[in-house]
Amino acid sequence: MRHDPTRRAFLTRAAALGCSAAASPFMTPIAMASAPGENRLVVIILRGALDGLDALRPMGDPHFAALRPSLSEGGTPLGDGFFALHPELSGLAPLWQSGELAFVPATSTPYRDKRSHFDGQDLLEAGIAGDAALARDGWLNRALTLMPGSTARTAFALGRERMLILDGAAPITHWQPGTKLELGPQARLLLDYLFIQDPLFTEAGLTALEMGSAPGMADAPRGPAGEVLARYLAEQMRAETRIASLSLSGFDTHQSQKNRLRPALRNLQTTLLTLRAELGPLWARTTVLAMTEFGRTARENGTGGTDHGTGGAMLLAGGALNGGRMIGGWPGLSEAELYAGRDLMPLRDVRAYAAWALRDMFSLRASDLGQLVFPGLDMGDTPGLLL
Amino acid sequence: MSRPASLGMIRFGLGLRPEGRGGDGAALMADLDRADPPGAITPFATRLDRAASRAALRRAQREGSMVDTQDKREAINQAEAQDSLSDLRNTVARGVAAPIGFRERLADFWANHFSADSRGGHFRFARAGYIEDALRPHLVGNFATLLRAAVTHPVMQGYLNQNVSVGPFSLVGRRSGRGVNENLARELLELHTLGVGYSQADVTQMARLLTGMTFDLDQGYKFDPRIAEPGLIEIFGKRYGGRPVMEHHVFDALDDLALRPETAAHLAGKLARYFISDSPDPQLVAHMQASYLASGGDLRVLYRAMLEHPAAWGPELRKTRAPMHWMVASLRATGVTPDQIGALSDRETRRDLRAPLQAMGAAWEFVPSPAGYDDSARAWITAQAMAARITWAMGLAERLPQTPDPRDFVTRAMGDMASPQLARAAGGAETRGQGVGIILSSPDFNRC
Repeated sequence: MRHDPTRRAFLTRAAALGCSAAASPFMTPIAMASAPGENRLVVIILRGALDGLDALRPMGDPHFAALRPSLSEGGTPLGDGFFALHPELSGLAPLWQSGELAFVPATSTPYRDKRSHFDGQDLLEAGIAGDAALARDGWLNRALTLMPGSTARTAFALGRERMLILDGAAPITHWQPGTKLELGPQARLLLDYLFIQDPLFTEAGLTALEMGSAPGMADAPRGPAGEVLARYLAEQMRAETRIASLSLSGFDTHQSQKNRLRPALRNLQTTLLTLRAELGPLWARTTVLAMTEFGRTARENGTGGTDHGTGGAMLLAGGALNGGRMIGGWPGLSEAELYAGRDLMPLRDVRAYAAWALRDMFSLRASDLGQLVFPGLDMGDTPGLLL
Repeated sequence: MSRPASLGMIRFGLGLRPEGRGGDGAALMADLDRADPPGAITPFATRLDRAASRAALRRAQREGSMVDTQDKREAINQAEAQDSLSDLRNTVARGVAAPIGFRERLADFWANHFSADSRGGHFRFARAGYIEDALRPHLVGNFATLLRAAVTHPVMQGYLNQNVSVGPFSLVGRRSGRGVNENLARELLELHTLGVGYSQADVTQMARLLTGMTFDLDQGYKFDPRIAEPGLIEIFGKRYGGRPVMEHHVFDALDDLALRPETAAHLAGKLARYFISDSPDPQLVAHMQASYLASGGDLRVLYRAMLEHPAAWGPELRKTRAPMHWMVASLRATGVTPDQIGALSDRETRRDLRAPLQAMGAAWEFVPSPAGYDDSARAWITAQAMAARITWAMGLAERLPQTPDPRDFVTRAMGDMASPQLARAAGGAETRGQGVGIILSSPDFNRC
């Protein structure tokens, strides 16, 4: 794996491969950075627009059952029982009880009304409020520029089971870095020279040439994608990595949501539980933020799914979290309380929570966060994310 | 080969061939009318038949038939998988055989524009048949015809859930309480036509109008009045539909979308970005847009407008070859013949074509999203993908029956477009094979 001295694009479009209607790419990039201190931050992008109302069900809201006739059964009640976890997230309930899990039930980016995955994800990752076409770099990347001594890099984890799904039953000889890319030193030297001539190819080409000897990459371990990712990531976080981002997909559930959301939520739960287990005592210094590009319609559609909406839930986890609570209030689900009569009303900008997490964990200045990292953001009062 | 000719082969075609001809503007336009050799790709009708057979066998099993249908189903699935490998071989071979390949590149462009695959639905491996039957016959005609063929195809309808969308006030809707699914309507506006300039309300209206379009496994695409939302539906100030709503009402709306200026700008910009540059000359795009609109949506006119504009012929190569394009270009340059590709066994096809394409980020029969692949120059050039390209190029170069001298091969592969650095590096390799592999892996050869 190549440790590049230059700051690499963090959380940008290049790391994304579009709408989760078509499932995740078989290679999942993880962006990682070292930074001063012992605190650790993981940002998980849930691609495809997670239905917050299904992941975290407002059972106590009088309008919920009517809006979701086929999507409100079961679940694990949290605290006073107003909210219940989706059955596939029930493994997270112990974290709630120990204060290591919290939700912001009604939040969103400033993106409104267009409901395009691609623009929504661009804005979420860029952390800006305006035109998605203006998205140039990611907010985590800009945050890194404020941390002296930080360096960033990208790793590529192979999700083997995704490859098998693509291939059907027939096994194929997999390309694996390190096993086939056997270049003589001269060929390596010449390619190195050529890749340096062309800036577009320099980083990818040189990294490709070094991947052969990358630790942990030659034998992609088997297992569910989230588990493989989380195990790899935890290993990096036990070493120098302090900030990381990765994306999970499969959340775009226009139909048969009851069945189709389950694997994606299971994957999210596995990722969180694996991270926690693998980090051991370091979990106490770790905060995980899971966010999505926008929520989904409050009403079920005619095909047992939900369509692109506005407000949705954000998940927070970690040993340092002041958790076991809902953050930021609940707008309600009556017709008048919905955004445009159709979507959950977001009560606060999701970027504010990310900004407060960065401030609390890495002591970044509020003025820098509001101007450089999230231009134009009003951070508002502290939500008191950490203990 | 003169400069515009090799530039045209690289930028608008599939790259140079040893016995190659020129790729100037006139040659490129002539390439559009080359007939597709028949029988290369498994027709969609075959996929449809097999889906129907599978469904019938499942039904028989469920209803307690005494005969075990497992073997029959497995035989069908095996035929599906084998045909998919044959489709892949033939697609690669067709690219290698193409004199220029402009037509092949356009087929790729439109296949990505009308992005759809068939995983998880009724059909297995039906994307190639969808492209062959719905898109390739209409590459040169009117965009409205292409649009209609794409949007009505069962693969697209299944991919974007149109087949489960029901007008709530239709016969079926009133009886069953089923409703509208907006997926196809949204992508129709955002991705297939306008790109910008529509609202959520327009999506909702369009989705209502599209109800009625669906497919079944007996006849494929069909318009079913029993699920069509009755009444007049207003979209962009014009009313469509009626009682009863008819198929041509939907087609009228598609035809009107095809001719909107937003659509013209979207298509012109995307085509110029695909072939020429991530940020093409605005005058070039404006010229393409105006020509398209003036011609009533004629794609041939759109292509000609691109090729006749001087900004399309800037000397610097600003785009990068997509995995399939790069693979085909490598095979063309090294003189591998279409027959040699056609003779690959299924196992070799998986190892030498399908697995590498997947490692390069463009798995066969797969699309990443309704928006297709990101076609910016940077998108394909990741470390993972470059490692896969280097590995494949070195493997190909080692296995050539007669490895050319890398110093000659630079010209054979790049015409006069190779950088002096590449020519120097090619001469410095340890072996001929490594020299050829280095040229194929180089930034020069990965650009177009």
